[in-house]
Parts: sequence; C-alpha cells; structure tokens
Amino acid sequence: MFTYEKRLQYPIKIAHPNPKLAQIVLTQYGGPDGELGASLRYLSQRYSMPYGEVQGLLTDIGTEELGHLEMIGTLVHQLMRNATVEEIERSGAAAYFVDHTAGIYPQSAGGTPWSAAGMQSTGDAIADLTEDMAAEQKARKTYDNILRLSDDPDVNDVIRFLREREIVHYQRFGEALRIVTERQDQRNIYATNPSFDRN
Amino acid sequence: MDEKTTQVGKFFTLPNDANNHNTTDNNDNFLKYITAEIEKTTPNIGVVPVPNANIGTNAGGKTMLGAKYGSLPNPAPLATGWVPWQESADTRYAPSEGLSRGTLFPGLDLPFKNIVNTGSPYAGTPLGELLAISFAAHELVLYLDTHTNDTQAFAVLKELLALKQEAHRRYTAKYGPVTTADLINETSFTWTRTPFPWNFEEGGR
Repeated sequence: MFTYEKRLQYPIKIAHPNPKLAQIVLTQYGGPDGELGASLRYLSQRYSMPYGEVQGLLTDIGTEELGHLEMIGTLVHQLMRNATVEEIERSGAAAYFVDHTAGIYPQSAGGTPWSAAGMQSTGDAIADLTEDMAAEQKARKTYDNILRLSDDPDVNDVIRFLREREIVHYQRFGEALRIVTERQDQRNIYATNPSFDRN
Repeated sequence: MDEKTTQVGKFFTLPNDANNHNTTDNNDNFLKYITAEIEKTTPNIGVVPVPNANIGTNAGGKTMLGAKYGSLPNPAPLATGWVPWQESADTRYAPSEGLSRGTLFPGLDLPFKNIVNTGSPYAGTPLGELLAISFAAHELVLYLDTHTNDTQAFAVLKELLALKQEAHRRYTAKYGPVTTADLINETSFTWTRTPFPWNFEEGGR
C-alpha cells in the first residue's frame, strides 16, 4: 500500500508566475509521455512480472514517478497561482483558465485529457520492459523540449533533475530486461512468456 | 594540425613525446589523458576512488572512465536488446551533489547540452540533509533492485538509512511531521497545520 511523505523529492520554489510555461510543463502531468502515464504503467505491469527483482523495480520506480507527478503539479501550481487574469489571457492560457481556473488538470500541452491509450500493460515481461525503456526515452525527450522552450532558471533546475531521473530509470529497466532475458532458454528466448506460460 | 600533438579519435589531441612521436600507442598514456580530460570538463565532483579499476588506469587516484562503461554478454543471441550492465555502485557523487545532478552515479550523469545544476538545494539545512540522504538511499535501492547480491552496495545502503533516520528526526523535531506516523511525537494534530510541500518555503516554513 502507499504512504505519503510530506516533502518533495527535489525542492521547488518558483519566483515568477508564467502561465504560458505552466501549460507546457503540464504536459508532463497529463500528456502521453508524462509522469501519470509512467506511474500507472509501471504499477500496473508489476503484477504479472515473473521475478521479484522486476516486481520490486517496477513498484519502486512507479512510486517515484508518483512523486514526480506531484512535482509537476507543484510547478504548474506555482507558475499559475499568482498570475493576473491579464497575464493569463496574454499568455494564451485563457481556454485552460475558463475550465480549470488556476487548478491542476491532467491534460497534454495541446489540451488532450490524459488517456490510458498512451500506455500499455501487455502481461509479457519482455514486451513490458521494452515499452518501459521507450517510455523513459519519451519522457527524457519531453524534458529536453521543455528546456528548449523555458528560460526560467527556477523551473529549469527542477526539470534537469527530473530529466536525469528518466535516464537512470532507463538503465534500470534495461538491467531488468537483461535479468528476464538471461533467465530464458538461451537457444530461443521467445519460446514462452515467463509471465504466463507454465513451461 | 599542430605537429607537437596527435589527433586521437574525434575529441582529443594528445601531446607528442619529447622526440615528437605520436604517443597514442602507449595505452596508459592515452587513458590517463582521457581521464584528465573528463575531469576537466566535470569539475567539483566528489568521486570515491575505485581501488580496482575495470577500465583505465588511475590518474591521481581517481578513476572516472570505469564508471562510464558497463558489460555486455558475449556471445549475445540475436533479436534481443541489451543495455550494458552497471558493474558496481562504488563510484558515487556525495549525496548532496547527487541530488543536485539527479543521480548518484557519474556514469549515468548525461546532462542536456552538458549544462548541470550547480550548488546543492538547501545545503546545510535540515531539509537539505533529509532530501540529499533520502535521495542517495533511494538511488541505492533502485540499484539493488537489479543487483540483489551486491553486498558492498547493501552495506552502503544500510549506512545511508541510518543517516536518513537521524536526518528525519532532526527535520521533524524542527518543522513537524513528514508522515502521519510522526504524529506520535507531536503534542497536537499538526498534520494539517504545517505547509504541504507544493507550498514549501525555505526549510519547510
């Protein structure tokens, strides 16, 4: 089960409101390559994993991603909360404001609400871990793009941290994939699915 | 090209020896130079020296090169993906530097456009200590998830967890509960009266 720690993994203190940047950063909350998708993907895949190491890793990284979801929510909240209505209008965030004011809603930068269509949980250990590696690269790519678009040093500090976490997770999922692969029959690693087949 | 140096690969030039001969044949010299180059471009790193380097020789007791590479199986079956295996957790940043960079392991530190965060968040404050130690312990847990039998890394984790317990105690004594379990030390229900972390100021005001 889940307990909550009343602290962020990395501190966040944003000096200047910026509704335009908030809409961009929000994509890591509810977008296709964001933290909500990452945490739900890993926490959903762990049930059918055949080995303790992989169940443990998916649980631990999935939990960390929930903490990152909280960090993205914090960033968007701090970027929106003291903005004037004029600033919001000028920044192009009026459409978001009318439905959500300065609240946090899981959607992409383009306004698409979060969808499980952006994730898979296949019940096949090798397919799942390969997908997880792709997911980490997509998240890393998104943080690269946020850094290209943002000139706020407080925000960029946090984004650089989150981006580096994705690279570390990629390495760990790669190692988990090796653990699974190397435990199959090396003459044909795809003969059976260790998550399901009995032999 | 300067005749007193020789181009080595894409990035490095190696000074020629006293007779103006290309020194790239000397592997020790090459690796020593590469290690020095890496250290020049990544300053202020608190690296724990690796006594038995896998790759590269020591240059002033610090080995960076070994931490950047992992091992691959040989032979490897076709139609599979292979990520190089991180061989050890011995080479690490100090916890506060690790927190700032987003990883404890220099080999995994691959910043966008080589721009890194400088300075450690809230260094020297109870919050800064708690965040840094908790982060270091978490990094070791993820490492150990895939490296179950690494007893050396497990020993390091246990030390970090002891430090974390102390950092947690110091932080909660000053600023209030971090988990609802911490309410056991409170004289009233402070859970809803201390700020939630999206509203944190310095040190958890």
